[in-house]
Amino acid sequence: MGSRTRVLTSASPAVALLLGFILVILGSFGEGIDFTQSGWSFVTIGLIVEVALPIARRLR
Amino acid sequence: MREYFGSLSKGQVWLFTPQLALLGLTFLRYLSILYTAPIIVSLAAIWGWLDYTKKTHRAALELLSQFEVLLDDFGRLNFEQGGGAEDKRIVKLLDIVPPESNAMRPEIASAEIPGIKDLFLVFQFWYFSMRDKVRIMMRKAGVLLDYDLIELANDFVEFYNGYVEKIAEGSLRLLSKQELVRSARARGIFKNFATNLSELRGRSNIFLKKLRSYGYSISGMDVRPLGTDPWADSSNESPQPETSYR
Repeated sequence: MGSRTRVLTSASPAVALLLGFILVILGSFGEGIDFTQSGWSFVTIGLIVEVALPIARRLR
Repeated sequence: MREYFGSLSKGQVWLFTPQLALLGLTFLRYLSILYTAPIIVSLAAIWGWLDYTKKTHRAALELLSQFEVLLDDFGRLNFEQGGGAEDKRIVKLLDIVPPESNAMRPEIASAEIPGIKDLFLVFQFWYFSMRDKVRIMMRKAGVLLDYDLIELANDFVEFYNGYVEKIAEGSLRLLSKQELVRSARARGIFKNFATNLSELRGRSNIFLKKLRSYGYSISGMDVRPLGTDPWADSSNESPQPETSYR
């Protein structure tokens, strides 16, 4: 695994959570497009990755 | 080492569990998302940093164990053989083949041979110190720094190229080519050395390439091939007809 891949995989949960919360907060303003659902999807993905990464490494 | 990785894993669990708890409290409307979101993202960022450190250490350790094998093979070929009849080190040629008499005066040649043998001892000490360094680094893998690995790789390139140039090629240049080509034992020693060194060179360059692909900024130099082959040189030389001026 290259150093760039290592950085990207490790940073992905934090990035997904940040993006998710921004979308949820934007969605809560209730104007224009509703981003709430997409926001929670990103939050869920971030949490799943946090669980999956160590398990995947251990399995490898 | 195992304790160190274990503590990292536990650290990751302790960073992940509060995130779930805070998210649950947000869903149940006990806490506002404006308070919990920054905390969750910060915890996730620390989690990511721990994960990255763990992966980097694991990769460094893997590279270090590959390097140890490489160094051991180099040592077995050049330094760790007995001094008996089975000794196939390239430096042994200095004992079994006389120096070139045309190239220099015998007294200069007799001074050059101990010089190469002394230099060989320097390389031997260098090798053992490098091997001990690798073993110490393997033991303290928890605090292994990228810089140590870069320094070690650069040191190895310098060591390998220096050995090939000063000891192997230096010995071959000094010895009588005719005597060298004539001796079956010398040929055996040289073939063994050249074959193993060529295989070792291939593996070393693959290892250096891998280090670079992992993001270690080591010098752009590769380990060099052996430039001298007296047997190939003698077969390439076409026999010159003897000219008579009489």
